Amino acid sequence: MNFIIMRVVRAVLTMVLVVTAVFFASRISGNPIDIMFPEGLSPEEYAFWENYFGLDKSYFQQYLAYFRGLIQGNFGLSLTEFRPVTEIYAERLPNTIYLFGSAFLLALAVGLPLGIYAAVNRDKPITTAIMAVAFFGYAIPNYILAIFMILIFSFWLHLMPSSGNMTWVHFVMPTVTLAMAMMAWNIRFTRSAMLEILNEDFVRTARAKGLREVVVINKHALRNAMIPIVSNLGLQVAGFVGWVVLVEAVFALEGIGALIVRGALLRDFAVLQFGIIVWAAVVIAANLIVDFIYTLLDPRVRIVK
Amino acid sequence: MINPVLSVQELRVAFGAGDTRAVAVKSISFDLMPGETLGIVGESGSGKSVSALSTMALIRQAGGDIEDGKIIYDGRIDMVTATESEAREIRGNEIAMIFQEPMTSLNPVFTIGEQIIEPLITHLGLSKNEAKTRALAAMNEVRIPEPKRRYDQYPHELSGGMRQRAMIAMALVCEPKILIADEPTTALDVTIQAQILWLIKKLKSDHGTAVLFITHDLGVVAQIAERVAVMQMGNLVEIGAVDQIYRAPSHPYTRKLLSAVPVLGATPAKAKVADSASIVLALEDVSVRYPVKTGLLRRATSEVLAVDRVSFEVPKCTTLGLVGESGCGKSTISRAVMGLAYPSSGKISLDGADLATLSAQERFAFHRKTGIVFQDPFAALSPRRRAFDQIAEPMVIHNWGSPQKIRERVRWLLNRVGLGDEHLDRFPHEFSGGQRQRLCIARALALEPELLIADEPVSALDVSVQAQVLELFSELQLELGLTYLFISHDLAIVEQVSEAVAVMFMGRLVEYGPSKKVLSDPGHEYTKNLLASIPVPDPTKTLSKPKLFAEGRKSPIIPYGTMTGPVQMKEIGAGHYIYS
Repeated sequence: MNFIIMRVVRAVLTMVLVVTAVFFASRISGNPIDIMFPEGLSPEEYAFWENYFGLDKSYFQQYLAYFRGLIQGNFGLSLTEFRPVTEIYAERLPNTIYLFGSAFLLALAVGLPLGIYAAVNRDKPITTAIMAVAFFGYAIPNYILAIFMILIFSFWLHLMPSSGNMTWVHFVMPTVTLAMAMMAWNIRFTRSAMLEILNEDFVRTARAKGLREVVVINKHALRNAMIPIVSNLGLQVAGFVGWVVLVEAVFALEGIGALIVRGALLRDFAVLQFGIIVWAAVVIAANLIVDFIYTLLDPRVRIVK
Repeated sequence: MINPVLSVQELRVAFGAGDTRAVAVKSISFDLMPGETLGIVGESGSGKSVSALSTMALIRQAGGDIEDGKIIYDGRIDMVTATESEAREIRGNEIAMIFQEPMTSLNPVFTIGEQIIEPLITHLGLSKNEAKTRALAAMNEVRIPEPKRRYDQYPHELSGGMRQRAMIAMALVCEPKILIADEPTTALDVTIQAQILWLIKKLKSDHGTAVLFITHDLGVVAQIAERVAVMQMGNLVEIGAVDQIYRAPSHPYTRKLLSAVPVLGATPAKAKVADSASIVLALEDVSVRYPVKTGLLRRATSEVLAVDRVSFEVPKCTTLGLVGESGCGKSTISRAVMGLAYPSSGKISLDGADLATLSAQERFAFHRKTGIVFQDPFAALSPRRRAFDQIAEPMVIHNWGSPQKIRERVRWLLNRVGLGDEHLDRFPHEFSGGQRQRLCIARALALEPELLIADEPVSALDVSVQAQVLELFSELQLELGLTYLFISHDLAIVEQVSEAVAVMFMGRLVEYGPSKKVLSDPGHEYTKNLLASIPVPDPTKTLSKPKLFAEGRKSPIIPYGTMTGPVQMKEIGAGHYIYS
């Protein structure tokens, strides 16, 4: 229990650091008013807008004001759309969650069993084929895969829509694209984790007890292999959130990826900051969940007296 | 006539394929009678474990194939030709097995109880509750204290001895006819070993289980077996009653094996090499503590007291044997002397210089004066570097001389430890265990050290190789005037190589004196208990029921900053002290 509380405290501290870093880093790039009015403003007008957005105060005062807002649940107004960033994100976040969530589950549902199979049946030809596919999925950049898929399934075969997010069908190709690399990663990782565990003495003990091979693999070996696999999945969430941006761009899927990119280009501070806060929160939450599952999986972590 | 419960007939097992195919077991035959203990002894690579795994029909999973032969269980089923499901019915139910490493043989993510009830549920179809009752009874029988509490504990919460007891409970819970024990006590301390041997003996006579006891230790087998089979490189060279094998071995290999076993009290006291008063290594009231950091701020809340107020001296050209069981602090002392661990108090001096006062430069130069040889020669050498580079490395680091000079010295060293020029360019995997340990010795001697620390240098080696390496140690001492700090858990070896012996328990020195005196007439309870636990390779001397030494500190973990009392010393003979 203590362990979990410590992790939560650490997660909150990390969030504070992220917010601070993002706040100052975004301000280094310059003043958003220069981009909003590229034709230039008179000094009076400039001063008006600066005052309007609170940009005339010192960075520290702005930071305090921003932080005060955060605590009250006010994440600021978009400088370009003049409405709360939370509202903008609320419209788009579900799309990203569907995309990433389904890709993550697909990659897990396919990758884990194939990885286990490849470890147990080391020398079978099917294993070689699985590993070749995994290598391919791992090596090919996903935007290239995306373009090929659009070419084949939309342009030639007219089976799938190439862009948009109106129905679930629109999500199929983006999901597969994103899942491909994650699945390849899962296969490779599961296989190596299982191979290592299958050499352990306790697997031999389990066999010596007369247990069925299915029980030996799926109970004794897999429960142990799940420990590294779960921590790998946590890293995967962190690593592949970035890929979402690319996939959303290629398939013109209106998720938060495009939003963050635009926020950065236009110096729309509130949009950018909130995007990164969401992003960081996802990564931190993923790690927190991993830590929690860890305590369920590994009794050696659980007992911290 | 009684039929054998297990009959192995002309068993032949091979590993690998093509050019690398190697025959591990070459046509062996033996019978195991109901209720008897058959010991199988042999050195590494003799095929004893392979035979055991073949009996369980588990050799394929280990990468081997049975080429020929029969393994008839109970006159009714041949484990070689049995289908997987037939074999599975036998495994854990009729033939059970325990292994060498209790630390890794239990699954770390399941409770002890869950693991013990598994065979009951699988083979006897018991419900979880019925199985639990049986499991608790079994845990009680193998003398696991508080079985109810242990039932829900995980393997890491149990000590090595307790884990091996749990393994035994798991193996015996279905009341098998045969128990195969593959080096079940090798990884355990000698006092724990005595308890486990006692337990196996008792369970065997209570239940009439036949035991196939595999070991490399001739002392252990003499204490436990009624009949002994001796294996050498895949052949069974001799089989017979235990008295006959030990009294009148007929095969030359058996004779060689028996004569190579160091026996306590069998060697004359080691003659003093030189009578000099100069002290090479001196420890004065040395403590080594490791802080245990917890919490968000990583504050030290407690510490591990690895070494507690230890003092001793080692005169030039002599050997001090440092003995004790795992966790007693003997390796920490060697690390502290090497400058790899820092004493939290006390003084270590080498050649009269206090290690703590050395400057960084002096400290670097000081490393020349000590060399170390570790226990596991397989792990102590980098697998990617040639023998020459490994031995030359310390000289290169310390700028010892020109490349030409270094090359000559490496050659000299290799020859001195019994290897030749042809070995210079070989990689570690091309050497045997004994040869690797010779390489390690050559490397430790490269910088002409005065003090050589040998941390269990022969424990990982077979007995016959052990004897040769020990011989090398004593030759080198004479020739180069070396001083040794010789760490070992094997008291017979310590008696053979050292003038003086220091016995440690839980970080403290408990007894110190001339080795002959200490080991023949110990003054401290702990030393007495340790000596009584050693299995003697003589079947006429039976194992006495082991008692636990429960005195002194229970755990090396103490609250941070706890002071320990000064050491009380009592002289019980000339230069023979006990401490409390």
